[in-house]
Order: sequence, then C-alpha cells, then structure tokens
Amino acid sequence: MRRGIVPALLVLLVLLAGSTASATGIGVGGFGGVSIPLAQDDGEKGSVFGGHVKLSLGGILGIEPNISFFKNGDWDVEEGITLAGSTFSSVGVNLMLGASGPVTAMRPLMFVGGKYYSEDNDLRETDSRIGWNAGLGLEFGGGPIGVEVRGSFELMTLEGGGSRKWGHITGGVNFYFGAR
Amino acid sequence: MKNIIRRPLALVCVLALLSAGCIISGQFVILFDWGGIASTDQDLNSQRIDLTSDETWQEHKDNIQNIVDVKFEVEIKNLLGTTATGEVYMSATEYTTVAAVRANAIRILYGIEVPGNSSTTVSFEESAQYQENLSEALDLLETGQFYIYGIAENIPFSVEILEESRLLVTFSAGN
Repeated sequence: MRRGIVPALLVLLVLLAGSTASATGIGVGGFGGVSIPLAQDDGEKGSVFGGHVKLSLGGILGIEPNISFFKNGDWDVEEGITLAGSTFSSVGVNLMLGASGPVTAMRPLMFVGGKYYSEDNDLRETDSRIGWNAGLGLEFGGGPIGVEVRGSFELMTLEGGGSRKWGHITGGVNFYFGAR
Repeated sequence: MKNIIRRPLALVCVLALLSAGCIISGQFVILFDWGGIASTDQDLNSQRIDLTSDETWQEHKDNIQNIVDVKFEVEIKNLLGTTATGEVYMSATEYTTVAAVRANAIRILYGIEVPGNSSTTVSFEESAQYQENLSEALDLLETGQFYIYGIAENIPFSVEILEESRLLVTFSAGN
C-alpha cells in the first residue's frame, strides 16, 4: 500500500510543480549514487537513487520534497555464507540553504530535513520509522538545467532505541521550469 | 541575512543533539555455536546458551539497545524410521519435559521436515521460512542467557540437533 502511495505523491508533486512553474524557482530532479552503511555489521555498500522537487522560498532558502530508494549490499557472515542486505525507502522534506531556483554557473547548497524511512527484508521482520538527513552539495549549470553532487548523512531511528545510519554520495540532474 | 544562515544551522545542531544517542550507535553481529542436543519424547534435554560470554557482546554489554534480528543454522538428525517435523523452542528457565516446553517455552522454528534415519540442514537464509514468534524471541535474547530445545511435533520422536548448529544475532548498541 505504502509503495503505491509514495510514487503517486511524487507524481502529484511533479505535476504541481509543472502547473505552477515560473522562472523564479521550481524544479524537479533525479539523482543516483552510493549508499554507505555506517557502523552496520549487517550490510555493505549499496546503491541509492531517487527524485526531488525544488521549491524556492525566495533568496537562498528553499524546500525540497524528496523520495529515495537505497539498499545495503549483501554481507558475509563468514567465508562462504552471504546474506542479503535490507532495502530501504524514504520520503521527506528538506529545508534548503543555497537557493532552489535556476542555477547560474555554480553554487553551494546545504540542507537538513525530516524523513520517514521504511525497511524491507524478506528474511526478517522490518520496521518503518522517522529519521533525518543533512548534507552539503554543489550545483553547476545554466538555464533550465543544473547538475549537482551531494554528500548527506542519513539517520533512521529504530524501535527500542538506536538507529541505522548511512552516508550517501550522489550525483543528479535538475530541470527548472520556466528558466532560459 | 545572518538569521537566514543561522536558523538552518541551528536546526542541524538541535537535530544532532537530539539524535546524539542514536548517532554513536551501530549494528553488531554475533555468530554463536550452540552445541548439540539429543532428545526423545521421554527424555528431554536442553542447551544453555550464554551470549554474554561472546566477545562482541562483552564489548558492548553496557550499551545494548535492542536485539534487531536472530537467524538459525540448524542440522536436525532423525533417529527414528518415520518422518519427523522438527521444532526448536527457547525459554528463560529450564524445562525438563516435552509437555512443559510446549506449554511454556517460545517456539521459534517449526515445520522442518526430517525423513526417517536421516538429517536435514536449515541455513541462516532458509531459517526465515520456519521462524515463528520472532518478537518474543528477540525480547528473550536481550537477556543474553536462555535455554534452547530441539524436539519433534509427532510422538514418539528421537531427534538430535547436531553440533554444527549456530545462532546469528544482530543487535544495536550505543551510548
């Protein structure tokens, strides 16, 4: 059920962005990269991909609804025994510092936001929990196209205490509606 | 302009502080040989498991937050000529009869078919399909010490959990 709702919400956000587009700062983008589990013995490096909508609030502030899918790579219990890592998804909203409208040349960006993470693993019971992320990036480009690289810290809280954490390193392309 | 920069930075700091306990936690894994047990419907035996003796548990014992997962690698030998349906139970206190185990212990694996006079091995990956009552098992595992039993659903039975059997426990720990 949740898997169906999340893509539908993303499509809605994209359509909303398109219908209200202007050169003052509404964009959509996709990204992909590497997900690095931090202090997790039960997962190896995996992949991440996702999308976001960039909404400028004026000046250098913006908000960014986002969705991502990432996976912990398979891990070795011991030589000859490998188990599958969990698959995760998240939806959230970031507060952006560094402008969210069309980019000219290059700009830095900083972000922080809340997320709702879900874990999926066929081999055990899993959980959906809140968490947060924060990070830094650079965006290059001109006109309607921007290319960005980001590094983020992701934290998903766990029921009963503790958390799972990752470092995400991604690259992506953004399209700004109405920009020339 | 300064406020525009300071406010998001302050938010990052607040979130970091609120999550400080979470940030320095992690997931750790214990691979534990559980030893062999032989039982019949008339003569039940158990194995006492003490995870607290494990090096990884010892290292994090004061900061364990919760048990995330447990998997089993089990080899069950059926000593009778008819097919047995193997079951594995665990409990905090030791029980000495099959009836007491069935009434009081937590059944964690069920449905392992073992043909007569032969053995069946269940891998860590395969154990998920036989697993039951995981939440109760994880709660019991938090103590680090418990008893484990290997029996069969059908009576009479004579089964042996072979010594190659192991537990794979994942836990979260941090300050």
